[in-house]
Amino acid sequence: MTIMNTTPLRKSRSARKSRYVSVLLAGAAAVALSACDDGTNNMSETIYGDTTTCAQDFGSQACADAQNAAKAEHIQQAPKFATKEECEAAGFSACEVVPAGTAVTNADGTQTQQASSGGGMFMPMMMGYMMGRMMGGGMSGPARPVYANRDGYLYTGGTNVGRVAPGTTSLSGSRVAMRAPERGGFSGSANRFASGGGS
Amino acid sequence: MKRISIAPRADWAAKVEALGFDWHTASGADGAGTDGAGAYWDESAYWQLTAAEVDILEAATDDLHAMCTAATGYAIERKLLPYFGFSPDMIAVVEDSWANRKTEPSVYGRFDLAYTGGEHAPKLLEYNADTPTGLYEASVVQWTWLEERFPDHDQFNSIHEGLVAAWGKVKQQLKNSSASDALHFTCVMPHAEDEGTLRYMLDTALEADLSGKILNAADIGWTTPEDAHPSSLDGEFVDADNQTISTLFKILPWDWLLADKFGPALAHAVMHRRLNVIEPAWKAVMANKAILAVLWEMYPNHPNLLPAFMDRRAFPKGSKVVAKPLLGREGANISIAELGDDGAVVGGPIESLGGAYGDEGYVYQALAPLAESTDAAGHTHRAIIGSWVIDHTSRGIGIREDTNLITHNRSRFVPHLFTE
Repeated sequence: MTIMNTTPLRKSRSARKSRYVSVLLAGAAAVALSACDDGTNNMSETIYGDTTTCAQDFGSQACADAQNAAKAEHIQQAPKFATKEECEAAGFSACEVVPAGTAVTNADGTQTQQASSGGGMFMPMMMGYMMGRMMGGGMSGPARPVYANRDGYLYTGGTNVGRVAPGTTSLSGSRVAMRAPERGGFSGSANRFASGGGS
Repeated sequence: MKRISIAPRADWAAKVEALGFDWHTASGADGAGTDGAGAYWDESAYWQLTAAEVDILEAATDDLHAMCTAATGYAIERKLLPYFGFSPDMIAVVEDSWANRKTEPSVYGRFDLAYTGGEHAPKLLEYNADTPTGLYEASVVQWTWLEERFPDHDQFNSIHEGLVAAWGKVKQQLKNSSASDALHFTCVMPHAEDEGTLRYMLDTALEADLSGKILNAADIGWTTPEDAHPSSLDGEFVDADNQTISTLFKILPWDWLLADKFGPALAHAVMHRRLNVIEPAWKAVMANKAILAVLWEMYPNHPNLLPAFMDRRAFPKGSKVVAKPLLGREGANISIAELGDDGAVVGGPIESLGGAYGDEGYVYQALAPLAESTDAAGHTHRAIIGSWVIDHTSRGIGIREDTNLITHNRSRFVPHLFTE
């Protein structure tokens, strides 16, 4: 049997108290919903699939504007593919035709106007849009388009922001229509053994 | 390796509490520690090792981890898992997890070793590879003790750095599989020790730029889409805020989780890659005491192993053996006895502990001598070495002591240092 580690690593004078104490005092840290949340502005982010659900939070005009802005960004910024197969092979859950007239940036930096009909290019379908809400209730920053990959992971701007059932092609209606969760299904054994699970 | 008595720091309790170590005292300890009553953290003594002894422990730990990994593959390939007391569901999850092990994050494990010091080979007692605890006291509390009491001495302990690096690797693995880097950490609450271990794990994960949240296992929710059948397994686990759980670090044994009500949903979720669980299910094979018999079959007479068999009749007459329930934890249901003809117990057990395990079967292992030291008060202390494996690498030790032969969940944690 060979010895796997030949470099002794047993001593270090690094700051071992680390942030443990502060975590302890603050209680559990919140799961950050997006990478841009630096933890200082208490912003919450929600993904909407349509304007109906959004309107309950921000009002219908603001939501219509936000959705349009996200769509415009989506059409301009979403990656473009020559075929639907290439688009799907890149991992997106659903792909659609790039609208006629859209300017597509080529690999060499030049722009091509998408033809008005036939032989169009493809891009991932926008699943919904994400909006930030400030602590006080107002909207924070522009809405951003959200995409889903094959496994149901939701992305905006390259950041994972959530997950839906794989194969979901629309977030319309609500974020995801799920039943009220059932809880307590991992308590039986601990009760039976009357102990924690550590060893 | 020797035990040295020393007066505890006058304000030791306040000092360790300031670190968040709020489980330093536990009723049920043997009363031979710092406060003569219930100390779990016991700094009325320390163990002094030599650098050569640390090298021996480090090499044995790395070798044993490699051997346990090989034995896990051997047990899976030869279809031995039914002898581990595992259910068919558990076996399916373990096999799937093993096949997928290159992409499933594994962070940590702790060997319990019998070691009498010097040139003697450390002997494997068990591998807590699924739900190890005793981590924070080994990584942080004994380190701060060293810094204050013996700043010029050294300690076999880079556990903290190892954990941060291991979480960094987890972050990369999650990124590679397009999974969220938001983790959930769970145990049964209230439980001071397990909750403390979770807080420390969360802290090291945060240091590696992951994000995370602690939740009571009882608060984990299971939800299915409204347009699916209510008994559908195509749902997801959520936390108390209904946020999706995509990676779960748990201090709950796999055999418990899968036997519970949400077990089938859990099995479905991990096998369909909708949920990562740390430690992964294949670590439960190493944590099962049956691995001791598999190891002895694969590596007979290896210096770091003790003879171990599923059938105690394999031991010669006069052997002193330890009976260990396959799925037991924290010393529960362990007994020590001398065997006569055909594996029959001579007289009564030499020592035994009660508990709720044993229906799943036992493995029998030869009794090993432990490091021993008798203090001025006449207490004989027996030490075992908890040797940490972080991301598959030996990273340090924590020593547990008891005046009994069987180490259990209230056995005292005693700090260590080493000298050149």
